[in-house]
Amino acid sequence: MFEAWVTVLISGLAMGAIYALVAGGLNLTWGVMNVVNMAHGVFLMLGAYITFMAWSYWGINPLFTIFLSFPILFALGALINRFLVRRTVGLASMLLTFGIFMVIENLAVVGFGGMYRSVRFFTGSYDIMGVFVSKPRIIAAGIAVAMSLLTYWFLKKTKIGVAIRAISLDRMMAEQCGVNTNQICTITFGIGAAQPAVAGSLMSLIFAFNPMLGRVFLVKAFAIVVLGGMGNFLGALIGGLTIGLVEAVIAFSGNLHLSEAAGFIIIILILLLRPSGIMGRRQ
Amino acid sequence: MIKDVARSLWALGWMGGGAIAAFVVLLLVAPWVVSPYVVSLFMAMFMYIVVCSSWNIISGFTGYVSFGHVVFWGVGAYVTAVLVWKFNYPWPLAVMLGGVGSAFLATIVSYPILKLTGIYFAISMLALAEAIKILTSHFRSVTGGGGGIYLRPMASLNILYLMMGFLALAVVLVCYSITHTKFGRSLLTIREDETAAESLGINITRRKIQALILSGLFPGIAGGIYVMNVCFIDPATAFDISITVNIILMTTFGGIGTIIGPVLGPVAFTALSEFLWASFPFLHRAILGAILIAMVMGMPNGIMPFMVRFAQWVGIREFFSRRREASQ
Amino acid sequence: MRSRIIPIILLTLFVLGTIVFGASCETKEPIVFGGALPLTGWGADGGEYNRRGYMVWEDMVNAAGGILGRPVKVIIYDDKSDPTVTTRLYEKLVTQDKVDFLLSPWTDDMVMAATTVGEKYGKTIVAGGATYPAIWERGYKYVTGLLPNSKDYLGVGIRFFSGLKTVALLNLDLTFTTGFADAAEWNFPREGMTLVLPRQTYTGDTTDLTAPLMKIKAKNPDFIVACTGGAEDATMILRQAKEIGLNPKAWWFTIAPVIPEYIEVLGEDAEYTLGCSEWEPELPDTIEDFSIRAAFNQRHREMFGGEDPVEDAATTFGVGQIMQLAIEKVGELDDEKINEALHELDTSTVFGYYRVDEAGKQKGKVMYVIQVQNGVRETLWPFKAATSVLRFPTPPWDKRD
Repeated sequence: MFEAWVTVLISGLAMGAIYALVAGGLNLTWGVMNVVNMAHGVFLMLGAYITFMAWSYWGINPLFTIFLSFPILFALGALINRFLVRRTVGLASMLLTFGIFMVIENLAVVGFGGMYRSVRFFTGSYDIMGVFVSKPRIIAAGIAVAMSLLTYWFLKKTKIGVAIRAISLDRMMAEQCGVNTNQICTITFGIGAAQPAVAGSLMSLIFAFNPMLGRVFLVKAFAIVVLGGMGNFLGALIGGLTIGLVEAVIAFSGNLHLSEAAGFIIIILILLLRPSGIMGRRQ
Repeated sequence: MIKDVARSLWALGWMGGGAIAAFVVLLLVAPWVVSPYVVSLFMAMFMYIVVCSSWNIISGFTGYVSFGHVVFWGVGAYVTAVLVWKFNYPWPLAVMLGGVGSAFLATIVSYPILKLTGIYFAISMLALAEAIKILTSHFRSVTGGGGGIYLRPMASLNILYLMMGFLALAVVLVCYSITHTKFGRSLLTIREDETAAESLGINITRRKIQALILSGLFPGIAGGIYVMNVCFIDPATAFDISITVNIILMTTFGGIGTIIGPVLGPVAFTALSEFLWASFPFLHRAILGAILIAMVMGMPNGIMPFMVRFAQWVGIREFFSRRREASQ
Repeated sequence: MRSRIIPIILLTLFVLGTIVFGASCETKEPIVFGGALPLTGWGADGGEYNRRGYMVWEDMVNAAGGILGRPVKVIIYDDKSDPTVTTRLYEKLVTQDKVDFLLSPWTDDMVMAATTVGEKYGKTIVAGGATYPAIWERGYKYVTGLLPNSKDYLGVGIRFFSGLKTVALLNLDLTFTTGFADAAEWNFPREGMTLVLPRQTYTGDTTDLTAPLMKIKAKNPDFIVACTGGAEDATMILRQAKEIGLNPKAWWFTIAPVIPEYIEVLGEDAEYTLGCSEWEPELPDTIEDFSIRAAFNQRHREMFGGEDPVEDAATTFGVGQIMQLAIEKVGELDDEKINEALHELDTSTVFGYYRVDEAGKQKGKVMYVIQVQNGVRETLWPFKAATSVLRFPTPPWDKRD
């Protein structure tokens, strides 16, 4: 029984780490630029297709494809920001990015077809004293955590990172202090698109997916961002892990329906108790 | 209150009254002129006018943007379906009780959830809708679970269409008249500045709760009418997040916080998407998306500035302007 | 004067009308068939296969001289995978396009919506890809079907393994998969199987099945029936079962094994899994008569870039064929008589046998038990049609090579 519990908890944490990476990109664009990015899910889906195609056509090791999906989606995100998103915030940005979502998803259905794909690379698990640890999930989770921490380090320690944080605190003030806000926002949106793309690349190892892949994660990603505290990068990681863990516990002791409902109910409860998220600044 | 409402309706004047009369005549005549297909298209349009206008009460007037408004529509549809299916209620009564059900849900969640503001309120509503979707699927003995509920067709399309049409008219008139009452003015004040509203002596908690209940009532009735038409409901349809997204898109497109915006938005969107869908079977969503992008880029404030200019020219500014007098 | 003009005008009009009507019959106005399929949205995949079936049918019927000497025209709309749109489109087909006959949409939700419209206007529908028993249990007069309902669909597999004692049930909570799971629970006690724990339901948004699979593992059932909706959830179940070492003696999946990409996505992990198929392009016709199947397969390959037809294409072709047989039997385009004929026909199509009960439920269609063996679907049952023998029990994951 003990081993079973540990197996379930590790699986929940692994899923939580992947949620966190998905939410991380959203957190950036939302927290820093006040852009509610509805196109988030299609960036994820594109990442998954990049990995699938690189693996199936050129036989590239799917783990290395994150070095493809990150720059490609970074460039796409930067272009989208430069030409479309740049001047819109709030509800208008939501409309705009929803338009982008519709265009890309529809083109993907036409281009890739609706059939399911998957990268068959790692399957099975590591058996550690009766505890089963899924190979694709734990590898994906490891990369997701590393990626999240790397972004955190980037925001804390680099010049661009400091500029990004400055904009998230006060855009006008940052501009006054000589930050090129347009450029920094383009970089931010680029990272905001590249992060879910990496998550998508990792998911292509775990799930069978089609162009509708991103929809599953959209709602949960928004919820995790708010749970962790908008604009708080470490918060999103902790929020993601929390949700993953709670879902696993309730799914094992209760059932899957209750666990998924509980995820959402907990989000409401935490917001009521700490209205700016578990790691958020008090307003 | 009633006096204010009456006075506001009187203030509609000849033009407003004429427009309403014209609408009613068109509504009644349409089933004899156009095909049932167009009638059911109109019905879908009226349904969105109802839900968009209702969403606008809490999100446009009061400033609490809800990302989960589909929950009221879905609960209304389910209450109606369950009452007809399990308890053999006459369907018109069940439809009305659908509205009661969704208003009841709004009542119980309102007090805690309205303590949150801005994006936190929005996400809580989203989470609420998702949680209720899953719970509906789970409690199978009451709701039919993931398999959904099937009903026998009982009401004719024309009757349901007329109900939806009059409901849309009623909701728009309610939205219009509450902006002329003290209640409506206090909502606008809350939107502009909650602290100021409180110091003016407005009981903001109470006003917000009333706004949410009002905003949850009508979608429930619309959901009930919908389910009587389609005769089938399952959790995936009833709590589909894309309905919420449509509400926000259409209302923002038409003009958030105005009375006519949530009417224009659904009309324009339905017409546009219908045309695209008929002309480009495989790419209609991409083209609609591209139009949406072009709209936001070309008219960053929605279509309202154009409409306002047009309205000023016609002289019925009141319907179009984002209502601000309370804060002035 | 006036009193004489009116009858003359009326008479002229009548004569003209008769001439025009007669002429239009002479020029062989096509018989119009209309339907809606999910060409976009989540059902786009299945919708496309269904559309191909109708296209091939239209082509082949017209090449053979049409029905009652008149050519056939098929109109297919896109319902965007939304049953609400289906309702609207069938209203449009009946009242605006005034089609002569309705064709079936795809899957249960849409069939439910379409048959409601059909019932209202007295237009009969032969349901294609739908198995939910409620479709035929609502007391509708104008609905028949090509596929067996889900009680039979699940019954085949459960009877096939009737020696096994303990069973676990997984269930995706969509409409038709819930129907499958209900049918499974209905069938289990009839074959002496007991559920070791309540059915484990998951949603389309579920991303981790470790918990329910671990619970099933603790009970160690002989048999696992997974009421999956397609390749997506079946992949997740099998991969996670492999990870935690869940080893029943047999795996049974609904739908998934006949989805073309199932074997491709899962690779070796799909080995030994079982399911049932209603149709395969190369099924031996020792059990059923598949009428003009060879011609259908060939025409399909010609029209769609050499691709073999899949089950969903054969279904819609079969729907067209049944309509044709009923119309030809009646000899005129009378909805009532054709509906009666559809209830009485005992025949076969490309899809297999067709015979329905008074409610319109399919009784004649044979189901085939299939197993994935060495990367291909092999037919195991009925034995007369078998291409291979059952590999049983399924070896544990760590004992496979």
